Amino acid sequence: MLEIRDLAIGYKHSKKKIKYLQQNIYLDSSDSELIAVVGENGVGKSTFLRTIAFLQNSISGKIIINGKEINNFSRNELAKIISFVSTDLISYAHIDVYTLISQGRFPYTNWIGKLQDADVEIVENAISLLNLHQHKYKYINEISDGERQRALIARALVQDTKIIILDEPTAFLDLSNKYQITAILKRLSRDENKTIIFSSHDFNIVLNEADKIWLFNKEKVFSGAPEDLIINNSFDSLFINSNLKFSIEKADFINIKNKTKKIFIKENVKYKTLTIRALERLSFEITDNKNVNLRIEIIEQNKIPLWILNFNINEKAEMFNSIYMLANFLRKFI
Amino acid sequence: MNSRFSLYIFILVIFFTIFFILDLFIGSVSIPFKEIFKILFSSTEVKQEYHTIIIDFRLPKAITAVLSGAALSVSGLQMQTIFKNPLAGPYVLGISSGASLGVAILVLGATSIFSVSNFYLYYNWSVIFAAWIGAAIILLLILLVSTRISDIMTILILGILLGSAITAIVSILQYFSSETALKSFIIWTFGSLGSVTKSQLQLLLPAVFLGLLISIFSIKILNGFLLGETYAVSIGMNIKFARAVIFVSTSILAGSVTAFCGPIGFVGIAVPHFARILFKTADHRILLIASIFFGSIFMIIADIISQLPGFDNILPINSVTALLGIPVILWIIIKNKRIF
Repeated sequence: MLEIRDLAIGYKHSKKKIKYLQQNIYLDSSDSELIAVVGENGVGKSTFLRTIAFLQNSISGKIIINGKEINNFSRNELAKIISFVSTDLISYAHIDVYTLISQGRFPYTNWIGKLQDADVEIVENAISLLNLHQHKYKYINEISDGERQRALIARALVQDTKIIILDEPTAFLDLSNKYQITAILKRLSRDENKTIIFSSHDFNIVLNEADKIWLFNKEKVFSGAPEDLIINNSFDSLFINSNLKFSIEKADFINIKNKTKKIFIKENVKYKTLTIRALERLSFEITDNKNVNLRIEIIEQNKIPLWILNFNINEKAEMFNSIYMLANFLRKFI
Repeated sequence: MNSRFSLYIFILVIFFTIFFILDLFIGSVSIPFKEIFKILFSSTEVKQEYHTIIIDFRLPKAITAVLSGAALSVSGLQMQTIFKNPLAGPYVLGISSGASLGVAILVLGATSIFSVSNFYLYYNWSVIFAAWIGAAIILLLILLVSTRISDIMTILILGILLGSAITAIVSILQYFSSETALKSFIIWTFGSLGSVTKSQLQLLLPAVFLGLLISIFSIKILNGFLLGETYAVSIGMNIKFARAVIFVSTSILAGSVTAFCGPIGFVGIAVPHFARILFKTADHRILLIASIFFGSIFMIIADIISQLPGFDNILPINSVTALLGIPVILWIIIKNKRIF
């Protein structure tokens, strides 16, 4: 479907002055894949998406769609192959959701932009697919951010393209909307047979949902299933200058502060995980060695948990009835 | 939507007709309604004096009002959409400055060099062509720039700067010109609908029709611009070509009106807002037609007011449109009707 060969992206200020954001990008996508583009701010994710949507010129290299180079397509031909959802705010207030969505039929309509019956049917389909019925005639400044994002996705959908590219579709959304939008994208890639390429900073969602990740760091672009990138430690390259590290065991990012103090927690099925979370936040290292200075035992009295902390050589002990109290006390040992 | 649209357009047509006839009725010589209808719709003999006043003076003036109102409003609509700016108007590209430079060079320059009596230059063909040439040169400059610059805001700023620079040149010309030449130039800047003669109308009419025809072909483009330029490109629009179509249309419309009537402000900014507020839509198929009607009606009303029923003098049309248009713009700003 989409082949990217030796692509260099960035900005050409003049013939001599070129600002490269990425070079030597080689990537491929196949049909109905959900591809997430991740990476720090400033590594060129947006530029990359705009370049492969041909909204911006590449500096060198090839972007090939179905065997044909992207600059050999006319604008109108391309609009029937790639649709784009940008982060741009829509400033015009008097657009209702229906008009917004039907804009996607632009490449197919006549000289004055009249929707034919077939166009109307496609628009109505998209409206029901994205569950926008009750907002159909509302103006776009009257609906929520999540609904607007759904309307914009519907607009891209009625453009009837094999590839949909979205620049940070889940930015500015609350958690449940982030999940909802990602689920919609996944469904479209499966049921409607679309190749969907989107950028995101929501690693947890992306790791769970994407078929493939294109990971951008300052030097290079990695590609693979999320799990592949975890195994070959590609994610760590995102956080060279921070304390974050990707943990294979947890399949999540962990904060590696300098863990000076060791602490032991006696086995407790119910509360141990939560206690560990709190202690790790305080930079304690959890150890299996019982012979350390700090030891915690969790007991239950009348179904209320209590934390008993043994500390110091003199076998002093202190009891706490909340993790907060425990953590507060432990601060002086850090 | 469609039935509401038809209803509103029907009401606008009625208003248009009423004000158009009222405009023919008002003037320093009072002519009964019956006579006006006779002159317009039947071949029965009426007083020659009445016939001359209506056919040679009032009718051309009313038609000029309709043409200029429609042209400036459509041009303003195009500029507001393409620049995504509610305060953009027909003159943001510097079109009127270009026209006034043409006129200034002719009226101020030529008269001081050749000392031609400005009586012959006063509102005749040479003024019109000078203004047209001035506007056309600006259009060519803007087109040249817009093929090289992709950022629309840069084009807007360039248009405004260009306009200011030209105004500065015009001021220098004014400074060095004779009193009589200066006066006739100043009078040109007041704007006038009544100075367009029947024979001049034969040129203004096709020019405005050509501009409006191109604007009808720009409807899809304008709708494509609604979500911003990124989306416009992604749905298959050739931005530079699209801009060129709109700039050409706007320049023909605003340039021609300015050439024949002088600069007329605020119509182009205010009228598209009437259309948006009444029809509550972003669809330019509706907004364009509505702007044509609102613009015509607005200018006819301005023309009626400018004649100050009961007085012999005629107010400068440019001042009347400003006094009518500014409250609208003020209201839009204060009410913060989020249109853009």
